[in-house]
Amino acid sequence: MGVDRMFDHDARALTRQMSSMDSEAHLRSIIAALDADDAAQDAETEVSTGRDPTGRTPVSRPAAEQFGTWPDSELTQCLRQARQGDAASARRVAELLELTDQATAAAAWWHRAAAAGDSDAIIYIEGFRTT
Amino acid sequence: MSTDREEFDEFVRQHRETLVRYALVLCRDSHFAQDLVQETFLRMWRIRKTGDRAIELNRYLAATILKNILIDQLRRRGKEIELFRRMGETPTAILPEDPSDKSAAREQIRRFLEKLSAPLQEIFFLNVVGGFQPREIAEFVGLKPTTISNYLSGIRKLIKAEHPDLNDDNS
Repeated sequence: MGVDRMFDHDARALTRQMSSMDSEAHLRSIIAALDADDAAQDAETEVSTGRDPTGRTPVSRPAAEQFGTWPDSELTQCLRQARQGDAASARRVAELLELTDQATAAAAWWHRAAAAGDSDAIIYIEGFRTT
Repeated sequence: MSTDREEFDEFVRQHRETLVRYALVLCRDSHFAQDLVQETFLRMWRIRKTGDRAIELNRYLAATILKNILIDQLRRRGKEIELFRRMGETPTAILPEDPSDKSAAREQIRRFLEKLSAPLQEIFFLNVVGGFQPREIAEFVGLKPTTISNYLSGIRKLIKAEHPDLNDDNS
């Protein structure tokens, strides 16, 4: 028996769960929840601050900072920690460099992370040797 | 209805099913998975409504939010000790009992997988249980497809090294 066949039971169970769901009802439920959220926010805006003339909620800085500048922000942070010898950060630098098509620089960081003992980097290099 | 909302509804239609499958790999409960996906879209829409269109709607953002919600929900349910005892802070697929297979090999594989980091467990289970290809997994976890392929290849190679009696599925 191969590895994949060992998980046949799990894969089939998941497929059964998917096919037993009522997709249309779920979609309707999501759209209704979004509508309700919009309606609640409209009511709140009118009561508390008066309607924003642009029709938009003010920009939430935390959300913008968290999701708007990725992956550059994470790369900067991880580089700093990796240079201080953190193995997991070195591996994350390798992942992010690879993601941004900087393969040569990424290769150096993969090996640096593996040498520092990061288990994911060791597995990655093991996989790379086979492909 | 605003243009923003129309775009978002279209995003929901395009990605709902894939996200449900993703959630199912993580939590193995269809009702819980559907609730997670609904809450994920709701939070994404709230982020979108901040007005910053630089925030791109994609599967990585959705998967990140979904995992955060899952962590919060499990903590609230008091299951974090059970589920996270060997996985740091990231919820990932737990290899469930397969009633049709009590073999020692499966138990050994289970123990091997438990030693992997949470992100690698997630990648592995998305592939073998969820049926996701490296390109799709890459969209969820924010990595390059080649990175995913190398991780999967490395995991399989290590499993084979520990269990040389296992056949190659492709042979």
